Amino acid sequence: MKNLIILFLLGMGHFIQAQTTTTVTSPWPSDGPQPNREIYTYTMTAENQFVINWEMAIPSGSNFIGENSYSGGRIDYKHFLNGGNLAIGASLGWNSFSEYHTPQLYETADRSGAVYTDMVRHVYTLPIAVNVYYFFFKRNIKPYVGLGIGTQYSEQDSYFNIYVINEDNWGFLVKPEIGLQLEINEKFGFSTYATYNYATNNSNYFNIDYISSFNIGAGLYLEW
Amino acid sequence: MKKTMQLLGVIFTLAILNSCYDSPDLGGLSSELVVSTDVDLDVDFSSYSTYYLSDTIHIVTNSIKRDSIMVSPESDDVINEIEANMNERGYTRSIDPNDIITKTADIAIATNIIRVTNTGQTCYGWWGNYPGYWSPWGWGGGGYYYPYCTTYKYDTGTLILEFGDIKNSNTTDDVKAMWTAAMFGVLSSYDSTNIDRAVNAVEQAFLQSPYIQN
Repeated sequence: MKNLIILFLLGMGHFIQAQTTTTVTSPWPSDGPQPNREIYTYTMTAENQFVINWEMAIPSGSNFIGENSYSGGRIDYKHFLNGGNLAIGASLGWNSFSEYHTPQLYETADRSGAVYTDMVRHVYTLPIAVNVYYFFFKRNIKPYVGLGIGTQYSEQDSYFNIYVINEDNWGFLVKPEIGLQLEINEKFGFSTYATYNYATNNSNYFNIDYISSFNIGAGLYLEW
Repeated sequence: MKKTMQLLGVIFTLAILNSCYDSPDLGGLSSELVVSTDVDLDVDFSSYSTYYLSDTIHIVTNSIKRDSIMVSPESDDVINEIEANMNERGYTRSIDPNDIITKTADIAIATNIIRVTNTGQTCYGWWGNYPGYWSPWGWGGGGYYYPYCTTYKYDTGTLILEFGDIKNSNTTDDVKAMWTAAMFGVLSSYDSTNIDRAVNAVEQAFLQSPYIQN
């Protein structure tokens, strides 16, 4: 594993090239007096970025559902302040978790009531956040860290026999994130990230205090 | 290359958006009845020793003309299952209704079935499937087609077992329920399947109520 990481870093070093830069040849005559600056350069980096991702999620710290979601996604928009390394933006994600539970007994707290059934549990999450990102550098490889806060809408369902019990609620959301983007050309590139979503959605009915998951996403970005 | 990239981008985008709400797969759910029980925690089941259990099960439906009773031998499987469980827990059965009036029986077990026929209608071809919200230009997945409706019908059933506390009741009109079991779910069109599910459910109801013990 350690070797693999070193190999990956070495490989990354090989790929990192200079920032997308256009060098303008000096109009100053070569045999004239030397100008103050030796070379005129300007750098064009994108100011806006739109990303669309497929996302998978691994639920953590929940007794309601434990199986991964492979049918999620996220769209996000970033605006680089003055075209620099700091960006602000907004994101909208979604995930659907579902899990079959074999027949078991569910009892009330005082153990007077009991229900025995199998069930399919389903959790749908829709996190909406405003984010701030810091890009370490923006060359053909762009690693970044980010932090988002916002709100999360969630639905929890329990299906059994032909019946269903629904709950839906809103919670406060916080999501730290690390990511890496790979440039294809000036406009397009690949995007990948890992984030931890923590939301305060709670349901007394299903005994849920919060909903949290590790989310891994991969997608394409468009810069302009 | 650029065209290909854009095309790939569009396909990817559509694939992602298509996953916006993934409905769960309910194919693995069993059709066995859901078994729910409720007990009065103040009751000491060891202070009772006899119970009255009729071999007749009352059937209540949402169509008055179909209300009826189920008698032996149709009711045998369910009644025998109840009797076997009660006897195993140390109680003695009585089959004489007078034992309730004379209070010779400590517990009266009532068995009822509620059978409900559900019907409905689903329409296709209208926007949102609601008649009236017409989509005049007929856009959407398969394009416009003339609206049509289908009807559906299914039965749900609930088997209810109730333990009436005869021993501690002053009159037979006001009997306190000590224990209730409600077993419910969708019904099969085969009666034998429904009987099998009911027998399994009764067994589970006693299994999850170990406090019923003389």
